[in-house]
Amino acid sequence: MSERLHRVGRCLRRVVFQAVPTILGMVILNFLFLQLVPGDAADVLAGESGSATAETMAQLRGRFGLDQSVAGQLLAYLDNLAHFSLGYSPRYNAPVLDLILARLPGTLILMFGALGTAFIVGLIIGAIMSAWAGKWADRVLSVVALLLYSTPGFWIGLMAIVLFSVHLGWLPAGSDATIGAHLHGLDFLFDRLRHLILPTIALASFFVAIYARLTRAAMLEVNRQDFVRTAMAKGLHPWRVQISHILRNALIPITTVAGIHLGNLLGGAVVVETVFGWPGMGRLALEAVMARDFHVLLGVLLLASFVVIIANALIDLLHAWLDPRIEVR
Amino acid sequence: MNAIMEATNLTVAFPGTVAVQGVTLSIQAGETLALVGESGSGKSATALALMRLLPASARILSGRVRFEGTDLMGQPAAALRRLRGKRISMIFQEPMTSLNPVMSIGGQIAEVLRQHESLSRKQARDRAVDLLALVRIPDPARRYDEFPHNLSGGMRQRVMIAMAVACNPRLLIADEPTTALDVTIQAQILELLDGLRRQLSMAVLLITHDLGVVAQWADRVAVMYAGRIVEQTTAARLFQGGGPAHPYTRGLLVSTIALDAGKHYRHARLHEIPGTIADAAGAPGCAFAPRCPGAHSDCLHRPPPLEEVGPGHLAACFAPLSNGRLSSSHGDDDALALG
Repeated sequence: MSERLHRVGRCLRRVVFQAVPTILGMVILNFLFLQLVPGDAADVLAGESGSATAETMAQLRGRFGLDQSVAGQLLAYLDNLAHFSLGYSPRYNAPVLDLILARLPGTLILMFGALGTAFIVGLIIGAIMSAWAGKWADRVLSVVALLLYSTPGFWIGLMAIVLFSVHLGWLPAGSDATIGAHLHGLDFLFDRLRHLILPTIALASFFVAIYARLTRAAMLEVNRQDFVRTAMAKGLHPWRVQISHILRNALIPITTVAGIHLGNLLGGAVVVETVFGWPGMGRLALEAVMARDFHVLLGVLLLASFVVIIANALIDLLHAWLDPRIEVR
Repeated sequence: MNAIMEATNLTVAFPGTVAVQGVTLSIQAGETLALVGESGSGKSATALALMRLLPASARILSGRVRFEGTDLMGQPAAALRRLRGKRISMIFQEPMTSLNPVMSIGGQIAEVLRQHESLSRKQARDRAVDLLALVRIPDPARRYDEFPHNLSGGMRQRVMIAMAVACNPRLLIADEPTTALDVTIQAQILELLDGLRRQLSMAVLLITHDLGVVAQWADRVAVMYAGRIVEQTTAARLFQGGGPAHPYTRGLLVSTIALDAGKHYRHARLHEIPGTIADAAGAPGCAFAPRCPGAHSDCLHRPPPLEEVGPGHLAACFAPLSNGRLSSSHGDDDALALG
């Protein structure tokens, strides 16, 4: 057991060593790319107020450090980071870290909710498809998977709102909680869950299709292996063979892909958050782009890279647990 | 006779071919029956048919299999599952791939125990450790948690054997258990199997293409060629007594390298059977006729039935050999010297 903990510790140390230069490079690159975007926060604020003079704009730029050279701005930003500050947002007139931390839980709940749902539903559909490969159940589910694969998430979201919120009135159409309800305990939890259902469906549908196809292929591949015949020769029930021998081996390629998807999901979340008015980081990032609020955008990108790095480390650990042949180095 | 497994007229078809054609064989309690034949002769298909474990594409066209008095052909899937791994078990050719790579070896043994006997986790673990010790795996309690990739091929085959004998089966089907192992390990594994056969008084159906293995370990021998049993006799009779009655068996015997192989290489080339097993595909007569030195016109028209040629000795040949020699009509020039 202590050997196992030791291995986990080594793995985490390696992750940290690799993460620091990766994140630093990402911050600098992102910063330089954003300099290529025309306009800055002062332009947007001035444009919105409609009555800015050259003096007020220069004053704004001076206040937010936008009048300095690119190198100067970068150094100032890195200096902020070194002091665990993500800078200040001219638009929201608040520290970026506070803005992001307010939105982070919403995005994480949506992301992991959607990925978890997609993973479980995809696994079940894929297992059914492989167990009846070539039969009608497989064909019907293949068509369903193809439809889910080719339909954009925002459209599924809009249609789900039309059906479940407008016509049936079962589920709320937007936001992450009933406004002004002041619920507590279980009521609060159920209220949150009810708000989570439709955005999760919209975000997960595409990934359900991917995991279903992947599970089907992986399980059919494992099905041909000799140890499956051994398991049958032991007198195990076919479903037991499917789950504890075939699926267990098929999980390895599926979790690999799921790990890669965590990054994609953050991008997909922007659209779904917009459709459902979900207060998450995706929408914050979009608003930051429109307002040229680059400190907020850089902060979001930095947080996103943290999430991806942590998720990849978790997938590495999961792999080492799933497949004893993989050594955690 | 006290047959625990009897197959009668078993015919198995795969898409495009009939792999097993009317095989009849019986296995007595406690004996080792060797099923011999070259690759593609239908040995493994016969074994899988006995377990009713054929792949979905294969079909049993006819025949019946009786095991301990019950007809396996009419049994529902649940009843077959109660037999598999408990009364009849099987080990396979490739120990490298026959174990689940992501499950501990002990867990895989405990799984079969818990499937067939109502044991707690702890009891199953203890029994599995005992079984690992029984197949002479050193330090079994520690090995229990290891995974197949930590073990050598011979060790993995021992684990397969432990799994197969876990519930004291009456019949163990060993499908080329030593083909993938090197020679020194082969002898150890076969010795272990034979020891367990005595200790647990089970019967062993040993599928092999190695006549050396047959001579050393088998009580009786059934020789398969192109899906049919062409000869069935006792090992003693085949190797020490009257010798083979079927020209194919004789061909197999002279193709093996004897202990005086050094002399053999200097003085003569290794004997071989001319042609390949595919030569008679689809032909109506004896499948061996195109390769047989003694074939005559009858052989090409209908397959010879398996008939008694001596006490406990069956052969499917119109012109069976006597004392390992072709009968006088074939001439004496290719007599077989045995022993």
